Amino acid sequence: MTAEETEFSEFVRRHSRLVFQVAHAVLRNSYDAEDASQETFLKLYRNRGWKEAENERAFVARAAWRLAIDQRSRRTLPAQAGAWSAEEVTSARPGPEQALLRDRGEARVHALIDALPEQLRQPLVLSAIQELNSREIGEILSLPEGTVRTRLQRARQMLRGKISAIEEASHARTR
Amino acid sequence: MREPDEHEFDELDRLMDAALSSYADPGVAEDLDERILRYVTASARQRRRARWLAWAMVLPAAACALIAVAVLFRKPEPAPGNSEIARHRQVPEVRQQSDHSPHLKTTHLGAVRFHSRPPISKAAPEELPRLAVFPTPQPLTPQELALTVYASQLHSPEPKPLAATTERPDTPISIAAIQIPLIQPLEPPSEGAN
Repeated sequence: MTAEETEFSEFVRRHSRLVFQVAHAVLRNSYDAEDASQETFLKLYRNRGWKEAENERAFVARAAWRLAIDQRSRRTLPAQAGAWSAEEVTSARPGPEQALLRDRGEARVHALIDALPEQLRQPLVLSAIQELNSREIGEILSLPEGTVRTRLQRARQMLRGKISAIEEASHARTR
Repeated sequence: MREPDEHEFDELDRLMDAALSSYADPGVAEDLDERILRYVTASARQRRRARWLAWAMVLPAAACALIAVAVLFRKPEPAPGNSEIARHRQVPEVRQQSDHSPHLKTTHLGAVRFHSRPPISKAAPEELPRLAVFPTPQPLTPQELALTVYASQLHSPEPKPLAATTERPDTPISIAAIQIPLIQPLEPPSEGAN
C-alpha cells in the first residue's frame, strides 16, 4: 500500500461516520446512506480534493450532502412535507402527530422532524451531527451563518410547538 | 393553544435534543470504514483497467487514421529528371528482345552488332511505366542506317584476293648462281683399328 493510500485510509476512518450521518440526514435510509458514503469517498479519492481541504469536516460533509441530494433527486423520492401548520395537528387526517398521540416516543418525534419544511429540517439535523457549528453548517448548505442560526431557531420553535400541541391534545383526551 | 411554562420548555427541549440525537445518529456499522475502502480500491482498480483498455483501443485507431491521412494527402512525386529518363530508356528495348531472334542493335559508338543470345533482363518485365521520354526509341532513319553501314565498313574492310596483292616488278630479277661443292668420298677404315 502506498503512502497516499495509507493517508486516504486514515482520512476515511476519520470521517466515515460523519459522511454516513450527513447522507442519512438527507436520504433517511441506512442502505442509501452507505451507498452515498461510498460514492462520496470515491469521488474525493478521484479528484484528490481531500488533500486540499482547509476544514476537512465541513468539506467532507458538504461533499456528502451534495451527493446525497443528487442521489435523492435521481431516485425521485417523495418530497418532504411542506410548510407545517398548526391546523394540521387538529385535523382529522392521521399524520405524524396522530401517531405521536397513539404512541409517545422518540420515533414519533422523528416523524415530526421529518414533517418539518426541508429548509428548516436540514440545518436542524446537521446541528445534531457531531456538533457541527453554524459556520460549518453554512458551508455545507452554502448559506450565510446568520441565515443558518435563524433557520435553526425557527425549526426548534416549530418543532416545540408541534410537540406541545400534541401533548396538550393528549392531556385533553385523558381528562 | 396555551403557552407552555418554563418547566415544560425544559422538558420539551430535553425531549427534542434526545430525539434529534437519535435522529442524526442512526447507528453506523462498525466495518463501514472497511467497506468504503474496499469499494474505493475496487473502483479505482477497475477505472485504471478501463483506462488502459481505452488507450489500447484508441492508440491503434489513431495510428491507422494517421497512416490513412498520410497516404491520402501525400504529395505527388516530382517528374523524373534526366537520369530517370536514361534509366527507363532501355525498357522498351528489353521487351522487344524477348523473342530470342537476332536483331539489329545500335551501340553508343554507332557500330551495328547482331545478338542471337537474349539479353539478361534486369528490369522488371512488366508493368513498367511508359514514360514520354526523349528520344523515343524509334527505328533508324535511312540517313542513320547509311551512316552505320559506312562506319562498319571503316572498321572491317573486305578481304582482297591474294593475286591482287602480289607485286609484279618490271625490273629483272637477278638470282645469284648456286655453287654446290662436291661431296668428298669417305676413306675406308684402317685395319687394326677398332
